[in-house]
Amino acid sequence: MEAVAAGRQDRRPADTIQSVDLNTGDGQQGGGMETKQGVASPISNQVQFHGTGGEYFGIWIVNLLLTVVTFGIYSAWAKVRRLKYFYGQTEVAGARFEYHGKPMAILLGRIVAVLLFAAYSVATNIISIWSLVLIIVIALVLPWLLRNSLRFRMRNSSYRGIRFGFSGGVGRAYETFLFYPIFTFITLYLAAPLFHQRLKRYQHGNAKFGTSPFSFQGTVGQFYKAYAAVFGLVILAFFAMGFGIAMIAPAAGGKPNPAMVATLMGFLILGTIAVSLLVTPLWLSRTQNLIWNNTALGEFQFHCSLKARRLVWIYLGNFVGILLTLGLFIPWAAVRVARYRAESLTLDGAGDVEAFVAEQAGAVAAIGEEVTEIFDFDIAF
Amino acid sequence: MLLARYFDGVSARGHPVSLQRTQTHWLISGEGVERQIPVAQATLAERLGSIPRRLELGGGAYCEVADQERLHQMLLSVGERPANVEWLQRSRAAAVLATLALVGMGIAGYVWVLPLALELSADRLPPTVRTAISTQTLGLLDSQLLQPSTLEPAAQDRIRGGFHRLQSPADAAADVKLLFRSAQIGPNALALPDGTVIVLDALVALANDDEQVLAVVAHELGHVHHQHGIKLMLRNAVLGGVALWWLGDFSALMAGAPAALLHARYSRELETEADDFAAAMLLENSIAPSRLADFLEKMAADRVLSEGSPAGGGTNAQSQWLEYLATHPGSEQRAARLRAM
Repeated sequence: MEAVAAGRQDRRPADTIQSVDLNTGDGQQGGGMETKQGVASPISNQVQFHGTGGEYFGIWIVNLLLTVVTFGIYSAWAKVRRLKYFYGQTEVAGARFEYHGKPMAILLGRIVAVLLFAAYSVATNIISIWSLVLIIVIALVLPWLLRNSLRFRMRNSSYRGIRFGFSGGVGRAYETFLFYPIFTFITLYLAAPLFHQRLKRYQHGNAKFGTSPFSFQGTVGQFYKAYAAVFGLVILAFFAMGFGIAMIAPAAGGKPNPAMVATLMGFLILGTIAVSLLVTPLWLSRTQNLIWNNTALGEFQFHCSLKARRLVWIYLGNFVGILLTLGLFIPWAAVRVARYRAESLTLDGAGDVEAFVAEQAGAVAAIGEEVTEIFDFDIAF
Repeated sequence: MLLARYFDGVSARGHPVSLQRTQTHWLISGEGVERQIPVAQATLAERLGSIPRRLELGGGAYCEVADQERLHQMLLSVGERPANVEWLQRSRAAAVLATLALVGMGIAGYVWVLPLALELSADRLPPTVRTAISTQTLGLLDSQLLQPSTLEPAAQDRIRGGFHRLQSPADAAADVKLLFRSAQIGPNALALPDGTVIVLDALVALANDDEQVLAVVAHELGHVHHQHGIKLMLRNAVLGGVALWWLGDFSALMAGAPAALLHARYSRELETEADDFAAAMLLENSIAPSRLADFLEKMAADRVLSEGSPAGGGTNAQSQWLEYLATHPGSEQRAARLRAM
């Protein structure tokens, strides 16, 4: 009872530690504690995810049913429910997150996204001058839309009653979302690490929590190092597949016969699955660790310690589960990933997490509330 | 007494408070916090899993309640009933029912709604789109796969003459054209959505006489009449979209194999439909459907010679797999069926 009266939202057993005093290594429940000298010692607050697959399944299946029955209109409400659930089950330093997005705004954004996609599909199927015009128009509008999405998502997320914010400018949005993707494409994806760094610099560097800004210190060099292992693995995989094909093909002789073609196709498909189940976790763990280890908020520093091996295991289990249940395993799969990603993230610092302050109401009005979220641009938090 | 945590929306500090609900007000009381909010001005979030429930008090301030059950009881005691969707999301029975309903709708959609939708869409497709698709496909084939025919013009005219004299059973597409080409892919014929039928030299060479060629053309006209090309295209687009929606992030890898099997099965159904049309058309023109059967058997034998594999494929298991993946039903089946007509 004491714990509850003191304002902790504890429903976990007393011996579960969610923050660690970085100086003494003592576990404790709560924010920064004062040592005998009266100076706060740095605390490592681990992010926790409390959701379960079974609980989420109930929400997920009802969402699906209502979405199908309403021909997709309900999907906006479903998305709000999903985000509220995942936000509300994520806890750090004694409090949970909240999502405030309004379904109508999401619906508007989705309709715009569908129209854009339809226009793009039609344009690419019926090749004419208009398709080129349309693609150029979409490319010109997209950075602005993506920036809006970021602002919407941040403005509609809060922690302890204080909203997040995003102050990235429109010009920088065009540099980040138009120039760098094109540049990456031109350089045959060799500039992908550069693009990634610019993207995170824009996204994390311009994020705010109340009056406090986030900062991002990751360098391009660090991104190239992180990607090096991934590039290496992909090249190795291509060689392996090529080698395999070279072994099988000569046995066929001149004309391809159906049996051999089927075997080859099977081999290629299995190969692609294996590569993505190995490469994606490696890429994710390296980049996420790099990104969060270089992100700070005021006096606090994030740390991320994803292990590729563990991720591979989770992804493999998810793949098998989803395949065997024709998709019904998806809620459990989503929870597994969310839980591991949360557990790998800590917020470290000696500051007081209760000292943050919201933006002044006046400042909020000046920035303006964005109307729509166009794409699911996930901050991955 | 219901314990909660109060946040004022300006600072990140949480204040332990006790929360009480009367008929008209929410009462919040704690160290440094005393508030009375009329019920109409406060918004209580719906129950969502086991996440703490929020009572929004306006101006960014809110109360967070961890003890869901007590809050629920407190609300019931003042006559507030929870929203239906809350119960829906929490009830196990509802989850099972929802699953069954979705699965049922999926099956019903695939078996009944999809074919109907394809039928209606294919009919309503504007002729210009049909023509555009066919012209582009022909252009692509001519540049990549096909070469001009080496058949003497006399033979081409003779076959074309026989083709134009054919009566079509259901007053089918008026705009049918017969083109001759040569290619390295063996004896084949194909049909484009706008009524263009392409016959390859190798097929003419393999046939015993013109009637067999026309039998194959009748089969291809069956594809045109039933708009198989368009339907296949639309079907793939729809199923692809559904797979993407259902599996979401996980779709890329998984949709492949089942999609291939479904496609193969549907394709075999289409071939059977075209065979039926061919049989009807041939009968209308006093040609026995068995001529098509003869030719299918000739083609099967020819494949044996050129590929060096026995007509039945390899081992039993292997040939079984190939049957599932095959886009055409086995030649023996088709021939037997045609002879029975």
